[in-house]
Amino acid sequence: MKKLALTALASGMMMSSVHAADLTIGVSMALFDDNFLTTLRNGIQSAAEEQGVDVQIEDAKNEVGTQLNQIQNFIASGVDAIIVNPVDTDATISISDDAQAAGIPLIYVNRQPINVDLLPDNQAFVASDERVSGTLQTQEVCRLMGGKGNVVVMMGELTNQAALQRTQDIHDVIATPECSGLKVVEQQTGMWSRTLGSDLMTNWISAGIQFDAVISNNDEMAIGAIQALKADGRSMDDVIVAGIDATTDALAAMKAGDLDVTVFQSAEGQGRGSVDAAVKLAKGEDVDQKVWVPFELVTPENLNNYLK
Amino acid sequence: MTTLDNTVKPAAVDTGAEKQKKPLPPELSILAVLVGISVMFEILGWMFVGQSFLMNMSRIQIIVLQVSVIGIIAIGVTMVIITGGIDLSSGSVVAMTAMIAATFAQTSAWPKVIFPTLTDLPFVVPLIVGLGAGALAGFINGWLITKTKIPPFIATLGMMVSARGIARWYTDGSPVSGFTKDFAALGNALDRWMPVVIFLAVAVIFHIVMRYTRFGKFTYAIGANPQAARVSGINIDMHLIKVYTIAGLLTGLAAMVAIARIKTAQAGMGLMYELDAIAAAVIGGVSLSGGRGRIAGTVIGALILGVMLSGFTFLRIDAYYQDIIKGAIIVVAVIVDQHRQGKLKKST
Amino acid sequence: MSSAAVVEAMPTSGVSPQAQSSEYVLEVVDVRKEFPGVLALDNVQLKIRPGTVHALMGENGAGKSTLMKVIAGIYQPDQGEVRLRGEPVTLETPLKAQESGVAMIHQELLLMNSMTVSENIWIRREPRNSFGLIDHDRMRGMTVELFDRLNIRLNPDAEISTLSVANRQMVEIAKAVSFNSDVLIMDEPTSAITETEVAHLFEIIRDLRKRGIGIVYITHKMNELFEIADEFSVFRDGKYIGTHLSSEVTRDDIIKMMVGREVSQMFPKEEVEIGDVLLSVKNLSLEGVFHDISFDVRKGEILGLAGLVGAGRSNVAETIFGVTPATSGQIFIEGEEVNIKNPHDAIRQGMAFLTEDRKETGCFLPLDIQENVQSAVLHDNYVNNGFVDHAALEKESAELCKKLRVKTPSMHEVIENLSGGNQQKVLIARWLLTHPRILILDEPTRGIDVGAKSEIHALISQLAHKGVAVIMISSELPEVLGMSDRVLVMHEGRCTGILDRDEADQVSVMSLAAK
Repeated sequence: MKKLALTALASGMMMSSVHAADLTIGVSMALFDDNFLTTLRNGIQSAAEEQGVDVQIEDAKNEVGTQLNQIQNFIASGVDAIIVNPVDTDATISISDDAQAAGIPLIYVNRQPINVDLLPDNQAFVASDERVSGTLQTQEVCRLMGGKGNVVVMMGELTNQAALQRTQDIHDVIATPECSGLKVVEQQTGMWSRTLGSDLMTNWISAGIQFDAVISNNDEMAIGAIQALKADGRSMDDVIVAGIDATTDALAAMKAGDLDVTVFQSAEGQGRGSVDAAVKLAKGEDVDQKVWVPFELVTPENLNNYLK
Repeated sequence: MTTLDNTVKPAAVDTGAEKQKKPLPPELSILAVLVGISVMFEILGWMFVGQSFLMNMSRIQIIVLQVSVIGIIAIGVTMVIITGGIDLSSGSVVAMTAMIAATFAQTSAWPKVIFPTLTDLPFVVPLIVGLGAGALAGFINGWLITKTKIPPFIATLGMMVSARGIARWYTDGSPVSGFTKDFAALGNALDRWMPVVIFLAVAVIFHIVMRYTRFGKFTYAIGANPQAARVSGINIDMHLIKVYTIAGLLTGLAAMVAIARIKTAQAGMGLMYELDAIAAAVIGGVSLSGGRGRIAGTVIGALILGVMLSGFTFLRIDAYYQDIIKGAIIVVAVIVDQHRQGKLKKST
Repeated sequence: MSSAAVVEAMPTSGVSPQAQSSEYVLEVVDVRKEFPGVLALDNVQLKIRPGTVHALMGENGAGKSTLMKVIAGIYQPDQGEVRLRGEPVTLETPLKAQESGVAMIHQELLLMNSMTVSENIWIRREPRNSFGLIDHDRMRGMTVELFDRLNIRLNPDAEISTLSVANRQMVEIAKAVSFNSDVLIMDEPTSAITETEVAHLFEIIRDLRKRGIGIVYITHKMNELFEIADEFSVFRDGKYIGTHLSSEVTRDDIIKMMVGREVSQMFPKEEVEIGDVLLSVKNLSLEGVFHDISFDVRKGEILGLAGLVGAGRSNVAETIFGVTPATSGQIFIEGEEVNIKNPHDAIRQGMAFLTEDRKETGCFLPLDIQENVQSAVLHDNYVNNGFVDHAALEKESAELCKKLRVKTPSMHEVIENLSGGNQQKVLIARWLLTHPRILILDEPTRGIDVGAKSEIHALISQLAHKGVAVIMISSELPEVLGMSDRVLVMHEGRCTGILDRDEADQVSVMSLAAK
């Protein structure tokens, strides 16, 4: 009741106020100082401008409590929808509860909330489907190898969900009939790091491991592997190297002919997707509870689309 | 005929002191700042957002709610600062106690349980574990400062780094969630007012302690003039250890309220809480040179931080500007504080 | 004046039955106290009768402060004993002394500035109500009652920081009385208060005396001794000289007792040709500190500044050097008026100032000799286009230190590791590097062993010989008398006389200093 009155009052004031937008969206980002998340944030900003929506973007500085406070402040300010890039995916139950109690639509972006399968109707999750990246990557490697050969796998940090998922995808693809000729001869962790990836590859080479392809959970380790292979005098034409992320360095490596496959996760696309979903929910329209922004396979053929 | 009135020197000082038999509490000026800032947001709200800032119960609740955790820490920090010390470890101790206590607060229904044999415990178990861990950290701070004579800045800086390390090491960095309903009630009961109730209860208790007990008087005395305190027979080392232990205990309590409210504990939590707590105390008129300051001032200082935080979001001020403004307000508060002290000195 | 302060003896007077049976409330018997390298107290005696004011007299360093600290429980005697009301006691801590009835009012007034008058008086003894909480009303009442008994008019709720020094002293006295002390030690209580405040203080002291309290009163001021003290004891060089009734002696007797030693001939004063007036100070004042100081110093002349600690000698030096600019008066150098607002101005005028406290304001303790020497010249000479000319600096400072015979393994030894005498030589080297025309020395040989002392004295003489005008402050009378061409004596911020070398002796200087 009071809220209604306030909203009425507020809309009365809107005529004289600076902003003439119909909708206001509150955004709580886990962290401003992160390249990927900054691209995502810029995606939100530009999508909002195009759609004529007001956004208030806050920096939770990687602090769960701060993020909760920001969301509650949004609720108190009566925003029309909230977009959250969660600091802690375990803490999302409280956030969902708060938003639901206030009747405000809520979108999680990029990081999968723990309660993703229990979200109420006016809440959704916008991200790229993690299961897709490893699959796209391995399928391309399989195609390039003609369905048979030896493969080494470089994994990210083992406590990390993405590392486990991407590795699982590799095995799932190899289990399919078309790629059953592939064989994983070595699989170890390079901790996401270029240096450790390079050390790992050097160890494999000196141990005399024979392989035709390197499938890495990310680009950094793949670049490390390339450096070790080159140091050993291996021709990069003889070995297929695949990473994920399509970082600037990786795209450069691909242009140089060293890296064969990488996968692009569109931060900008996720940002835009979250605004789309938020606007739809705020207008009372239906939205899928999981909005997948597609991963994109990057190979030398379409490389120019990603080089800036 | 010489009377005592004119033999006692400066008439100005004495009559001045006589007149202000009941001087206005110094908190009034800070309260005025709080009211001023709130009114400013109210006016700006109507001008630019078309909403009331204050006439919104849920916003009022959030303002108090979001400073409850910092406020509880700030009360301990206030006592430490009054002794002339400083505590930089609060934020990290929040993370450490939160991680440790959280593993005793999980329900068996949660998929990622750290100690499967220690689930569904009564809420007092994690609470006591958390308070104990906090008190222990504070005790170590106090012990280091008094026994090794290293400055509080260094001792608590060491604790700040180590406690963060313990928080990360304890579960290898993974967050701990899935608390029992009873434990979560610490942060959510009473229609979510529970943290506020705990904060205010702690504030009232320590207001009384600082004003009406010897413990409080000793705390002021040590900060005002350690030499005089020693000559007066106060056991300074023992007292400082007590003060730092209490500060640690309150930090532990704040951590329990924080994780019960957000329903998860993370090794990275509590970042910069120590600075917010110190800021609340300083804005509230607690002098960093020791001996001066009151709990009530700190509570108002914390509320000012809360109103600012909420007001910035309310006015849709860009996130980048928020920290810039907040920093400026803290500095201005200290300048005002020094000015006030300068005045006091001049009047002697 | 004293008639106003007739008050009945306190019901809870500290005079115990024993005190009446014993003649003395406090006795110090054969107390010896040694610090590394110094025998501070050499078998001293002191006997205080109840209901008397007993003054302790002696030059700086005579051992008065050490003796008091022994009585107040701050130091423990190496030998001998302290008796209270006839009973031997061991006073391990100031608190124990306080509880045994000995209270001390420190010169620097140990009060908690940000707390109220009441809180300061009753700390650790606050009255509590049945909940165990402090009863502020009752505490205030107790303070009012205490103040009434002592005729002190102060607001119990006033914060100490808002009180004048005199009123803070009243609070200390009230606190001491509140312990029902039998012995009250006052360390130069009038050093920082005005004359009217002194009058009030004396009334309170007389009142306390009537109550049977034994008051130990340390002072440098002869007139106070005759005004307030019944008896006095004189100390010299850590030794007890004697006790007399103040009504039976003259000030000259006391000065002789205090000085009582031969001026040694260790001062290699050279006969120097005195040149023209170089520095001239006219009516220099620093409000509230010193007033109307006028003097000239000539080229090659050594002007001694004598007086008791607190007479304002160091303040005059600091003002001339621009540390605390004067509130009025003029300074002339070679007849031209100069405006010195800060030390930098003074250095530019060719002044150098060796400060009194080597450790606090002289040495950069963690830095090496080289860095200490060069610190005063880093802004002018030896700097080319912003770069320090290290080669020239190191060469000259090494030569200087060699000339001054600084004993050190190398120029890169940290100054903290040197002896006091060598530190002082390094500091002198620092100032010599600025090639001063006017050299101000504040206690140049304090805490320095005899050998180094005479080396420094020789150095000062050499500088005078070269035409430098020297102003030397010293609390050691023999040093002043031995080194100076003329002696300016100060007392309580005023110049009480300027004596020529031949008319200056211990008695003439002391009588001007302790007016």
